[in-house]
Amino acid sequence: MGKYLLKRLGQMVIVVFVVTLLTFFLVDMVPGDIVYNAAGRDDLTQEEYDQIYYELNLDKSTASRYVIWLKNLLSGNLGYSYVYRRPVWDMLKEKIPTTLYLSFLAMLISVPLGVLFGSISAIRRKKPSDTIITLIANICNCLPQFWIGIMLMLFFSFRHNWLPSVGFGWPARVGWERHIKTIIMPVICVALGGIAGFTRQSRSAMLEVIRQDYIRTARSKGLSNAAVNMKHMVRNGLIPIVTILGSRLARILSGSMIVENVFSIPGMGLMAMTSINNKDIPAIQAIVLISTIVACLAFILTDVLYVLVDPRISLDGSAD
Amino acid sequence: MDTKTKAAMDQSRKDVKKQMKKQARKRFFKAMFARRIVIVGTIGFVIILLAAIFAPFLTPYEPDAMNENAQLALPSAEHLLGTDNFGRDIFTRLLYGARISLIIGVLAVILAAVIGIALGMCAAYFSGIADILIMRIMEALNSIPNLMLSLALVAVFGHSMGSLAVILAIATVPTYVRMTRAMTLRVKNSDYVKAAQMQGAGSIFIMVRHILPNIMSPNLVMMMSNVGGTILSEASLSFLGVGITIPTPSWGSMVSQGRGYLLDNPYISIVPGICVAVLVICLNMIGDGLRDAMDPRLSGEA
Repeated sequence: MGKYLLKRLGQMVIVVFVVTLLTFFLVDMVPGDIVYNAAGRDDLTQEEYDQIYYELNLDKSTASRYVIWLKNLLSGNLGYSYVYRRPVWDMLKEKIPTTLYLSFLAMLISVPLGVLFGSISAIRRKKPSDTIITLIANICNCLPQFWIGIMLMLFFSFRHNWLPSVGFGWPARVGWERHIKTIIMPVICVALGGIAGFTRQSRSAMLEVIRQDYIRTARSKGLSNAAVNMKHMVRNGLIPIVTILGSRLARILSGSMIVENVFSIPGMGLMAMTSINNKDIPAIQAIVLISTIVACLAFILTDVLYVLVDPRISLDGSAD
Repeated sequence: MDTKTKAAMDQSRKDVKKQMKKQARKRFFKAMFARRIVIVGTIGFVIILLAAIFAPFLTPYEPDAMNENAQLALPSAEHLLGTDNFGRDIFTRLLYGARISLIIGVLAVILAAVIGIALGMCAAYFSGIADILIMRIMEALNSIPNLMLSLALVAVFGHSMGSLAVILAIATVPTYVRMTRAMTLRVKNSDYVKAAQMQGAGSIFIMVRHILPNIMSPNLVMMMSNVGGTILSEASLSFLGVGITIPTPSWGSMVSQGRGYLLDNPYISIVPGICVAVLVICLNMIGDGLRDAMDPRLSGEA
């Protein structure tokens, strides 16, 4: 296990290195004069212009700027935001917890519910409850997330004034009641797609399991339906679900981006949008890089989880 | 055997071939439309397609024509779904918006498939450095979350229709590369490829003539099932305000625009979202049907 993890982390370093190359040279191509972007205003005197020009090392080649950027990165310096005049890392430190909190809450809801619906659907295959669940899951999978958010807002905030549409705050600052009120709609919005995804995935996984010999054996042994369902089916059916769990984890920093925009939640998604709109190059680079590293870690975690839930698989590839 | 009978035999052989092709096509359509839901999806898609094509004939208004006397009008006989804050007819904009979604969705998927298949075949066929280089870059692209990647690319390439198609394509290229590479590796060592190599055929010729036909059907299935997702991504980008530039009606930006007028005319936001969902659902259903008909594993069992 340790050896495997080391190998995977090594691969990840390569991937992340390629990503740094991609992001740096890509974002470097952003049109417009970087100096004016960095200064945040257009009325620069020649001296001011020159000063910023040299501060940003624009007199050097792109390649050598990349090396400087990478060196700073390795020493933990993600750069300095053009727009907010602060180190990017300080901003990220504020934004990341909000996004993680939102994503984790959504996942906490969507995993059990999705597995539950998926199992019901598989056990009652081709019965009305299966048809209804599958249909709803398919529809939810195709509804744009931003639209769901706006519909929730329309109903709960504008028509009935039950929940505030914007104004997310931590309980320490705005109190628990307001905090919960502001978080309900965003969490539902992020969770809905997840529920649909987990339902579909667990349904097909369970159906795969139902066909196995050991289920037939268990039934012919005279075990009750509930025992077969719980002990044999759900536990084995959970294995493929790890995959989709991994892909959800990989998007933990970017998956709530749209919802953050709809409900104006000051998380990483909103920060990504503002930096893109303002051509805040250091911020864009940092955001892309961090979300990629998180995604890579999620992929590794998925592999490890696989081994934990399925003893037949071993990490060094010597499956029986 | 005189020439006459030979000609007759040739003719009958041709007929048999024709017959077989016809039967294969019949089987294909039967498998594809075996489930009623696929038929529903196809009909829905055709309706949306026709509405997009014949948009100018279906509505008396122009998508960008503003009308100061009818701002934020509610649905009426004159304006089926009402008007937005500039007095533009929502129904008209919806019809023209279908064009954007369809064009970008299809264009992006074709681009992604062409690039992905080409790279995947090259990686598998040439192996060595080319393989490592292509696969590492694909791995890196794949680990950048899609929406982040698209946003960063929009900042670089801008908002035009062409660049949006490229941007949405780039995000899905890795899936085609990976699948094509795996399949090419399997086909690469077959006798017919070796025979072609021994005859001195060039690499590109072999890839296009001998490998491509053998890896095309799973790629087609993948393309079909990706169109819906791409349209959803396009809608998300437009919603975030980084998609198609504003005056051109796009379903995503319509939802976003209606945000400010939810109490005046909620249909500005409600209907375009439903349209996206319906289009994506229809496309996914067709994709499922195509998979039923083309997936060699499934058709082998049936």
